[in-house]
Amino acid sequence: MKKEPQNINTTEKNTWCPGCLNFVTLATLKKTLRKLHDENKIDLNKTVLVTDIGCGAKIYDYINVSAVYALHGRVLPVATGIKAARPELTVIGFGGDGGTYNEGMNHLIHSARRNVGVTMIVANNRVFALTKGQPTATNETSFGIPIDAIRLSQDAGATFTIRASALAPDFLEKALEKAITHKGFSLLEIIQPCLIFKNDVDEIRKETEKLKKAGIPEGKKRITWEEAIRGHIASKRD
Amino acid sequence: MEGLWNCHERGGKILKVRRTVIFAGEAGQGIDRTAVIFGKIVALLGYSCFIYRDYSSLIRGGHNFSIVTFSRDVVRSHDEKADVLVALDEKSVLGHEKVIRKEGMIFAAKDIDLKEGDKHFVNNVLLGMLLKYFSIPKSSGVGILRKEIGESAIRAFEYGYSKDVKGVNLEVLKTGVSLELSDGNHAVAKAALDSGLKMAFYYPMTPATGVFAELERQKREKKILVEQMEDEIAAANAILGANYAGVPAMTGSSGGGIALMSEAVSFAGMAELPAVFYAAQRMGPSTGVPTYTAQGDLKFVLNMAPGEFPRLVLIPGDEEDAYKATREAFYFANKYRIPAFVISDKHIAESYSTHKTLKSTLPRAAVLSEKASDGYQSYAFTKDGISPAIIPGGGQIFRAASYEHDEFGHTTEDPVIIKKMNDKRLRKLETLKKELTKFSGISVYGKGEKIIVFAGSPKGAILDALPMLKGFKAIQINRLAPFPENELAKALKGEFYTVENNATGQLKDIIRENCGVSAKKSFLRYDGRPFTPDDIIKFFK
Repeated sequence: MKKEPQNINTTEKNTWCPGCLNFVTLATLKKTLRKLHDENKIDLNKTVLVTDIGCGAKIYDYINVSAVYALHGRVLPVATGIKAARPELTVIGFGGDGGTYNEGMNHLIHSARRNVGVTMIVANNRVFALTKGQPTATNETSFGIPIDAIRLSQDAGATFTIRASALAPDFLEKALEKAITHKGFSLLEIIQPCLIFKNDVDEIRKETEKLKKAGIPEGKKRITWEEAIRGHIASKRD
Repeated sequence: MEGLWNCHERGGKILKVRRTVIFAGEAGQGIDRTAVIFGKIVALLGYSCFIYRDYSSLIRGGHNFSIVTFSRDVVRSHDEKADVLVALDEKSVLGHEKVIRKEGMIFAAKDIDLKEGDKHFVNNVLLGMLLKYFSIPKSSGVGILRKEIGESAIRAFEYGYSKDVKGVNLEVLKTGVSLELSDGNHAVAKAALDSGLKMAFYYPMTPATGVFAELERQKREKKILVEQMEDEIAAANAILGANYAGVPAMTGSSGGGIALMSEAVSFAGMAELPAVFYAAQRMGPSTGVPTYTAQGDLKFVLNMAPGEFPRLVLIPGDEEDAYKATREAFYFANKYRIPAFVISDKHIAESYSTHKTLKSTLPRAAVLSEKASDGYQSYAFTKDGISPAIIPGGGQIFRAASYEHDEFGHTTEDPVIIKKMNDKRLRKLETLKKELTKFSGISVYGKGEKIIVFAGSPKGAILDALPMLKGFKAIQINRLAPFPENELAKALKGEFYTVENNATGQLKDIIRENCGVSAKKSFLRYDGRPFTPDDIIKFFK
């Protein structure tokens, strides 16, 4: 029988701006994790969260599971190391568009290619908010074409990708469930405005409707990296 | 040219008789392989042997050579003057004939009459002639070739051995000691496995790659994961992930690749994740000279990565040291939850030498448990600074943070906790220093008033030259951080010099910074080539 996990909430002081859409993501993620635990689809005791830095990364402090607060852009290699060491763990990466698509794009492409069994959640508000609003690679105001990381990681071999929205918590919950329980690499991008530096809420609302209409796709089946390396490694120290 | 051989030739006091064979030719002609096979043959006869490999950054063609120096006494270095040249192409004859001694011999591929189809066996034909030259029994060659290559090579070898070659009679020694012949990278890989390594993440870069190639070779048998990552940044961060999850892992690279890992080093320091980094130096700066040696990264490895945190930096001088240092790196990294470095260079990493079986009594990395009592703290404030680690999965929360954090691992900006946590991390350094008093930070060789100080690969040339330098002793520094300042200060009574494979005398600066004393002079070589005993003798005579 599974051991009852610790309370998923922490008593850490939340320092997001009042009304930030991250609150929606945090509540939805906690709700989904608890639900998946109760449905025996994951074990919260065996769940590890790996976060980037910045606003979104603060969920490190707000969810009471084992966690690594990693370097900017380097969530995926850390998550890969954890998954390789202990394939039985559910490993969830959490970062922003800056960390995942600017600083750490190399790792996103290679994690998708490798089909490592981790879920990467990216809160995409198109700005580096904590450094005061500089544009990221998904921002239409930066020179060049904004990156569509969903398409890009599909091309790289990601077996499950979905774009959800912080403006549609029910849809986000379904997307999270599917992404976290997917076998293989999954990318879940959450579009959301930054109320302070990129408050294009009307545009995101329109986009959200389109995403809801498109629904949640089926994941693809492909051998995962940890399956491929199984047998090569003893998962515990001797 | 003054040197060891002349000392013997002049009929003076024979300190050491060293014989040297140069194998030279184009890349792809089997130079390295033939040299190693010859090395194994003389090692089997009881000789001590050292093989220096000189090769360019190309795959086929060019000019490569291996220098095999062997003796009944311990050999830790190669000589530039040689007795025999085995030349696989014309260029090699022209390039090396000037260093062959008057009474020496040249075996050249062009003098051998071979059918077109047999031409690629010419190295084995020459090996046969070489063994005949030294009067080494044919069976010694056949045995090794059967193991290393196969029957086709033996036919060619026997053809060479049947030729009429007159030479010297090499005494077969019966030392009863069976010596192993391997390179430094092999020693590091073996030490990692013996330490309990389960995973290695890397990105190839000469001369560090050999460690990971060796681990790749053994991965199925040893049940370890060896994964080539997308870059060095990923490799370094992946080992932190693996170590967080309780699986001993290492990475390594050379100058530029190590530079890319520097942020992860700082992460390991802050998050208190064990991490072993193998830093094999090559001639820099930047891309530098990829296949040539240098000691230009000493200060870099000591100081790389932002912030202040304890780190261990070990600097072995040869294969045996490299084994020992790597075992220590794993032991201390895991026990103290710190990053540990093993600094080598191309000369240690890729030169072969004979040595006794590599072993150590140091315990393997400890097995971590999922179990912990309620209220477990990832960064508990302890007296010795070491907070016991667990592995995630058992119900207790295990956190690791690159952000400054409290004892539970939650991020903080509280000035009191910031200072307290900093003090806790730095307390580990004091505890580490105490334990390190049981490990020698320096090694002293010989007796004399004047002192030669070195760290790392100049060891071989210095120790081989030392018997010929009256009034000199040598001190090897085994560890750059924590620096063995008390030990060294006590031993440094008198005039001292440093010998370094770099252009600025970094070791001299490091000694001055830690001990407050200055070397009288630094003897530096920075042409990408390692020191030979002749170099050392020239400096000090």
